[in-house]
Amino acid sequence: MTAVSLAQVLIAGLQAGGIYALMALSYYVILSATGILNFAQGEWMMLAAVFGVVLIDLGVPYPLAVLLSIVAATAVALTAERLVIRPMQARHASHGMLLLVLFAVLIVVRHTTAHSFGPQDHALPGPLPEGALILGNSLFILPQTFVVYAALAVVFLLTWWFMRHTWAGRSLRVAAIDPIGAQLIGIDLGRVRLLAFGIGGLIAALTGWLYGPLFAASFSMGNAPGIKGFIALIIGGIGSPLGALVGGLGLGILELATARYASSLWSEAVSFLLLIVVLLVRPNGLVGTAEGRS
Amino acid sequence: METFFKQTLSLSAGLLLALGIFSGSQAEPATGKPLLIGVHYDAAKQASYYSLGQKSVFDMFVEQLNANGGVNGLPLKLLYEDDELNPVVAATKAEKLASENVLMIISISSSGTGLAMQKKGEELKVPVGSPGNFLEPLTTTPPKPYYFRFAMRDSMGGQALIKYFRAHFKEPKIAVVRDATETGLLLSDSYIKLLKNADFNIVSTEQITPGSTDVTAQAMHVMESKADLVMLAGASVPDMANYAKTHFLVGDKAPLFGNYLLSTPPFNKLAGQGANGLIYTDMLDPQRPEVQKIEDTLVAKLGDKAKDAPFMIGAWEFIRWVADALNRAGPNPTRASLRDALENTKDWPTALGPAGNKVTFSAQRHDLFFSAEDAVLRKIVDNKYGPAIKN
Repeated sequence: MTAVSLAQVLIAGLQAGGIYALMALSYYVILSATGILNFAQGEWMMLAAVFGVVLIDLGVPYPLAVLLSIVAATAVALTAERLVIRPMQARHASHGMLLLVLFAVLIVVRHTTAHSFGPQDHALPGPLPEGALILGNSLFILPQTFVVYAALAVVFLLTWWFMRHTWAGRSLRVAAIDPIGAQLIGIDLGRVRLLAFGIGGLIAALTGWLYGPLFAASFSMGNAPGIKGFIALIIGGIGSPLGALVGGLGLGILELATARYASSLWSEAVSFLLLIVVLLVRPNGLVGTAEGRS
Repeated sequence: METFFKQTLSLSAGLLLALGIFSGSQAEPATGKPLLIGVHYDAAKQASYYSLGQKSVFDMFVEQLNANGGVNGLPLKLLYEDDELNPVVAATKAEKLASENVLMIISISSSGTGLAMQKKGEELKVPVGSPGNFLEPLTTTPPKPYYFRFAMRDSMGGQALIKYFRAHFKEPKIAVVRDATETGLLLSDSYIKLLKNADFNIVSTEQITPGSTDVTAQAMHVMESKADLVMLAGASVPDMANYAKTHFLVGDKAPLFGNYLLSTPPFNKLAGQGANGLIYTDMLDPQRPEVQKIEDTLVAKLGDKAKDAPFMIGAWEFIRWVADALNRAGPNPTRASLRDALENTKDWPTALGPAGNKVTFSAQRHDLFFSAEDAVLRKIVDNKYGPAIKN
């Protein structure tokens, strides 16, 4: 294990982990406000990337394509909340039922995208020129890696500040812990849910523009980051944005270190092994609290 | 010389059937009770890219065939069923299609569902065929009586590459890179077995978790293994492209080789400069005039998605062959007579394979690609899918 190879693992691990952490944050916002585990988060991410490919193909300038596609994907997330979640909750559907219906939303969105935009993978450009930055002789960093780092830092700080220091953010948390009490003090649960789905959708959609240039844009691209983001949140702890950050980055570094220093044949299995160990040893997550889990 | 002229003449006749009849024919549109062919495909999962592309080719062919007299005056009708990329669902759909009296079932989904369909075909005595299923176990010795395919099975592509390795490298050390998708694991296992049986030294086997954003660890392992060449034996195109890109970035000079699944965009776009120089197996030679003509026809109707898409040309040739066999099966074809017509195909000129290739089937052979010589090797040059290279 040389210093260069270790540095390379950290660079790559933080990049992969950054994507996981962002997806974990998007789960966290919705989970902390509504208690709902929205497995369709990966689809908002996918929609932003696929919309982006279409807009760029149409000749829309890059910044506008980014903006419009993120707005459009977030709008779909909000529509799902209005058309599916709200009516279900009005009928006092259990969380299990909501989980099931959101899984159905995932399938519908994925199939509709494949039928509407085609099943092919597409290259999605990043905001910076392609080509790696070479440090020394053998250490390299892709420009998109810096974009992931920067976006993660900004989104994490904004989420943390919003949840802790704004009335709206505190309303989200109160609504999840004590919905009846929240209503008594004037919190509109419908608005809280809509806000949570909007913020969660926005983070996921932004992640589509971070992940797409590193992989590809296609109707099925939300699958892997969606699952890994969820695992990251459970590992880190579901009670705070810090849990999402620690879980995501830790998972990314662990996967890359396993591939580098053990065997790439085991890098995926190790994520799930860690999940099992954490659930057995620290069920609240690495930095989570019992309150968050409840 | 005489043979050359005969080949040219028969190939031209075949192409006339494939292309000319639709534009210049004076035949009346087909009427009457349609001849039914079932097709199982993947509507929206991992195999849907190939499935939907081949489906659009079938639809185009049948539309033009029926407008020009159909088969013996009868229209051809395709009944599609989504198998959801699930072998159990595929088997159910086979029974459904059989109950609807289809004469044959065509597999344009994954090899896994194709295998389920093959078993059902034998059980129900319905001919089953595929232009795209490459899984090795679909070919048996002797062949299953009701199963036929045009797709190039793994071992043929592998044998063609092995032949190339022997000719260009002296006892090469080989690294194999694969992805952890189900198809990727099956495909790479098949390649590893072939390479080991050919006494090649595999110095590294690297696996990519599907959807990975970084494969530096795998690229570094391969470079440290001092492999003379790297075989991309996976099935997930973005993951294989990610490897090729990183291979280039870490400065590994070992040449890359790939399987048939990398023969289609966007591998070249996703891999960027890493794609250049990659030699891969393919089922056609793009420089053959008949290939270019079919591609032009497909692009004119279906747009750019038909460019650099060998699997779509394979679908065209396959449905053209099925229509030809139906024609030969008599005025009232049955499953049995169609099966016999498929098996009795002799010297049928095709655009697939190397120049001059013809389909000749028998009770011992139901595969178009039957030896390493049938496969074509191509190279990516300047990020474009290049011409066939000599093997």
